[in-house]
Order: sequence, then structure tokens, then C-alpha cells
Amino acid sequence: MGEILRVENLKKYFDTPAGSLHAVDDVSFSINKGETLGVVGESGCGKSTLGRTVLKLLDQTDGRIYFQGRDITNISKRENRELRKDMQIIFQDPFSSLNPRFCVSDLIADPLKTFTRMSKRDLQEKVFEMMDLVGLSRRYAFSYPHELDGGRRQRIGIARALILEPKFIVCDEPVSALDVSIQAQILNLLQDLQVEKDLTYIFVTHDLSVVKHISTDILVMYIGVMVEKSKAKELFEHPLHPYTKGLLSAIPVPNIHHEKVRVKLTGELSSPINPPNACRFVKRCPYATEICRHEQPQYEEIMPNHFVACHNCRKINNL
Amino acid sequence: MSLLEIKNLSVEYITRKNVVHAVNGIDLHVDAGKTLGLVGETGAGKTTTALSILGLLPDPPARIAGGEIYFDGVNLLEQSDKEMCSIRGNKISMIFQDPMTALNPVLKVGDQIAEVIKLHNNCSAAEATKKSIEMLELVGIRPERSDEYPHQFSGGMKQRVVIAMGLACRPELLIADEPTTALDVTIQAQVLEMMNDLKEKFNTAMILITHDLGIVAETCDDVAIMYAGQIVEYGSLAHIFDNPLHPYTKGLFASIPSLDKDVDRLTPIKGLMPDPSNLPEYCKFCDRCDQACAGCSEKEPEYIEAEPGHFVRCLLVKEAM
Repeated sequence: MGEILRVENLKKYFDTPAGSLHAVDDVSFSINKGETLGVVGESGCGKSTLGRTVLKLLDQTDGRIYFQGRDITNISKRENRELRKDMQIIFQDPFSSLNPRFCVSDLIADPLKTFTRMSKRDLQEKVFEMMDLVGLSRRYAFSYPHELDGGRRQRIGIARALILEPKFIVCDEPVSALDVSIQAQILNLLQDLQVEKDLTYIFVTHDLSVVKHISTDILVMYIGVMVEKSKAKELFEHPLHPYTKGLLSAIPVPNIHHEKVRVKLTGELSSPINPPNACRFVKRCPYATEICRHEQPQYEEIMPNHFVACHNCRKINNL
Repeated sequence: MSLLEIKNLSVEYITRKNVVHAVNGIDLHVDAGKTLGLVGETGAGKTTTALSILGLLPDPPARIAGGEIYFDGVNLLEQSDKEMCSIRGNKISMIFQDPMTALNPVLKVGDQIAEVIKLHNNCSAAEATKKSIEMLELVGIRPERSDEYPHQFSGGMKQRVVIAMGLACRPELLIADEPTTALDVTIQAQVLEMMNDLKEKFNTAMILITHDLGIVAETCDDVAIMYAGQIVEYGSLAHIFDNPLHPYTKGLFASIPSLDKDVDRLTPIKGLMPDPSNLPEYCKFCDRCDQACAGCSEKEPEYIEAEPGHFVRCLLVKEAM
């Protein structure tokens, strides 16, 4: 299967009164059609900014984005608008991302009204089709968002993203606000739709068990930089970067016989404003050496298809 | 005797339109020094239960419809407001979910902790300040930060401040309402470990309210699974994790993506929790249950002891016995 999206050295800096905030710093990756790239990291690591910059909802500071082989880095406003039909986003919070004054039917039809001219009847037919697809009963067509629960609202968000039949969707923490039993329903729906419509996802989340479940590849971010990337299974079986190890061992496992080798991470994320030329993880890293304080590590392929940015990676893992 | 014993507690919220049955006849007990995990989805009645122990239910609209809550042999529901004030924050204290809103933004964190100490101990302001700094050190915050305001702290640090405040008077019972939900996993691991250490050090009993079964596995001794205002299953960690009996408990486990095993598809619980203002007369889980039989939609199942110390509210389990 061919490559659908390629991102090269993408940077997104924000100007703040305190200095330049490096939200996304030199991130490169590519995704094949029909696959899912999971992006994980703690709050403030730049994962949502990455998703939005890729979609051109934010302008990049530097770097290139190719979508279906075409350079979309510096496209015009009009072209950007056309691009929306192919690239969509599902937002985290189904409570604030829906206009409370629109009924369900209007909410789902809105993208279609913006881009096409359709008769009222065709439009309604299409909306009903979408509601069936995402598992929303037709009797809710004229309800308002406040009358529905979180799971149903998230289904509206998914229907809105899908109605233009996009090829690529950024899912920005789509299940974080939901209860586990509802979360499983939505994850299954997203997986079914992916197969049915041959969709490609970027799945942004902080929940590692969700990301393992849904992703083909996983990208781990830490304060704007990518620290590790590999196939999902490989990452969980052989995490190589000390941060990934710490992150994985911090997840509480719902199994009382689970023996845990805990890599303890002390401290918290340092500031992304004017970061020094050093490994961003150095302050929390149990293996930090002198070089880590003076030089930012290169991102290299340590094992086939397994990329890590760490000076001491080989030493730590006895490779 | 248990430190805390809740008997047949029911709580309703009376609204203009209808009556919401948030908690429907629950029985619970917590022994001194033990941790009870209270697990359930949004709207299951977990927080309402916690607030009724502390006498913090907003009344109206909330009303305790029946039951007793014994703490150290005293029925908390019969205490006057003044008596409750001397218990709250002193013998029983609470850690709230969101540390961002639990702290007063215009007071220094040190002063906020000292306030609790001054209120409950007969001590001077200087002593209270000294004690508040000790508490901050205990939760891993440098003493010089006691003069800072909440906005100068990160989320994890604020939650540490809230925990320091909760433990300042060495309570016998600590109620933690989703204490780490707002935090990142690595910070969550730090906070949970710290809470475990402090709990052991002070021999504090704890009710941990959460929806994360992983946290329960790591911190609790006993578990109560709540659904639609009822305890549907109660037992020790081993009972619940190795031998879950209620279909809802089993469904919860099947809904979580596993880190150990590879599962292609999750098995979610179908449907939604029933509307608490219009609960069925029969088993509350019946409409979502895959194994439901004719008897399930006839009457409320009894709360039975399936094996010693392992209680469950399900007709099928009773019939299988």
C-alpha cells in the first residue's frame, strides 16, 4: 500500500512573552494508506499541535508536508479549503466541539452544506445514511447535543468528519472523555470504519493501552521532539528509549498478578520555551551522562524500522 | 468493628421535573488502615456516596432518603452541623478530583494547609505554619514553595498540595475522589506511590473512587463495583480480578484494551446506563446484559454472598449456586 502522508522536519513554534515555545520540533514521519499512526505523550508534549499542523489548521514554522504525493506546505487558502474534503479531524471533547444551537441533523449536514449544493431531501437522506453508519438512531436527528450523552455526541463528531468521505483523519483524543464501556464501542466503530472506507488515521492520545490497540505504528513525543518510533507491538515488547520505558511502566495494569519492572521517572516535563541544546529528557533520565547535557541526540534507526533519539540507547539496551 | 459502616444508604436528588435516584440502598464497610476501591462509570453514584459520608451533599436538591452511616460507632447522619465540622477535615478528609479548582487561587498554598491545622488543633499560627511546611515536605514539595500561589504549581504539584491538606490532621479516613484522573501517567504513578507510602505511615483508611481498574489493582485491598446507584459486586482484590461474577464487572474487564494480550476487537458492553430518574424495577443491568434471562426482568436480584466475603447482586449467580 502506498504512502498517503509524508512529513519532513516539521517545526511549529509559538511566540510567547517568555520566548519561543517549541511545540513541535523537527518531526518527520510517513503513513501508508489504511494504516494508523498513534502519537503518544504527556500533556504539553506537542501531540495535538502536531495533528493540527499536519492538517494545516495551524501554519508550520518550517518543514514540509506531502499529502498524496503533493506538497501542501504552502498552499493557498482556496486550495486549503479544498483539502478539507480529504483531511478531517475528530476532536477530543464532544461537549465543546458541537454548536449547542444546532440539532444533530444540522450538525452532521454542516460540512456537506459548506462544500456541495444538494437538495434538502438528498441532504437529509445522506445525513440519515451517516447516522446509520456511526450507529446513531435516526430518532435523535432533531435532538440537540445537550440531550445526548458523551458517547452519542462523539458519534456525531465522527459522522461530521466522515460525511465528506475524507481519506485521512486526525483523531485528537477521541475517547478520552468517555467511560470505558462507551470507549470500547467508539474504538470498535473507528476500526470498522477504517476497514470499510479505507481510512488513514493519526490517533493522538495519552492512553497507551488505547494506542496499542488501534495503531499500526507508534510515535512517542517528549516536549516537541520525537523520541521513539516503531511498529506498535515492537514498541511495547522492546521499548528502547528510557522515556518510553518509564512511560510504559507507569501504566497501572488491571491484573493483580502482573509483575512490574518499574522504571521510575522523577520530576516533571521541563519547559518547552527556548529549550537548550541538550537532550530534552535529560533532567528526568536515570541514565543521563555528560553528553546528554550538551548535545541533542540524533534520531536514528537502531533496529530495523525502530527509530530512537538517545545518546546512550545502545549502552542501556546492551545492543 | 469497621471504621466506617454504611447501611442501606439511599440518596435522591429532587429536581423540578423528577426525582433522580443517585444511590439506592448501598451497604459498605471500610476497616481501619484498609483501602476500598469504589469503581463505576460516570453517574453510578460514587461521588454522591462520598459526599454523603462527609455531609457535603447540596441540600436541596439532594436528600438522604434512608440509611445510616456509622463512623467509629457514631451515626454521621444524626450529627449536628457543628459536630460534622469538627469531624470533616479532621477525622475524615477528602481529596477532590480536580486540583485546579480545589485550591483557593488567592491564598498561598502554605496558608491554605495551615488553615486546616489551625481549625482543628488548638495551636498558634506559628505552629500551624511550621506544621504546614512539614506536610509540604512530606509530599515532596520544597519548603520555600509554601509562599507561592496555586497557579505557580503544575497539576501534579497542586494535587500534592491537596493531598498534604487532606492528611494535615492525620485523618482516620481519607476519601480520594479520582485523585489522579487529571494527571499524566508518569505523574500519576508518582502521586499514587506517594499516597500509598503516606497511607501506610499514618495507618489511614482510604476510599479510592476511580474508574480505572489498573489503579485499583495497584492500590486497593477491597473493591466495590457500583452501577446505577447500587453495589453490584463487592469483594477482595483477588475475588474481583480473578473471579469476577457479575456480568457488568466482566464487561468492564473486556472493555479495556489490554497491554499484555493482543486483542483485535474489544467487547464493549452494549447500550448505556439507565436514566437514574427512571430506573427499572428489576435488575438495573438487565437491559445491557448478554446473559439476561426471563427472571432478570421480573424483580430486583438479591445481594448475596457467593463465597465468603464476595458479594454479588445477580440472579444468574444465585441460580448457579
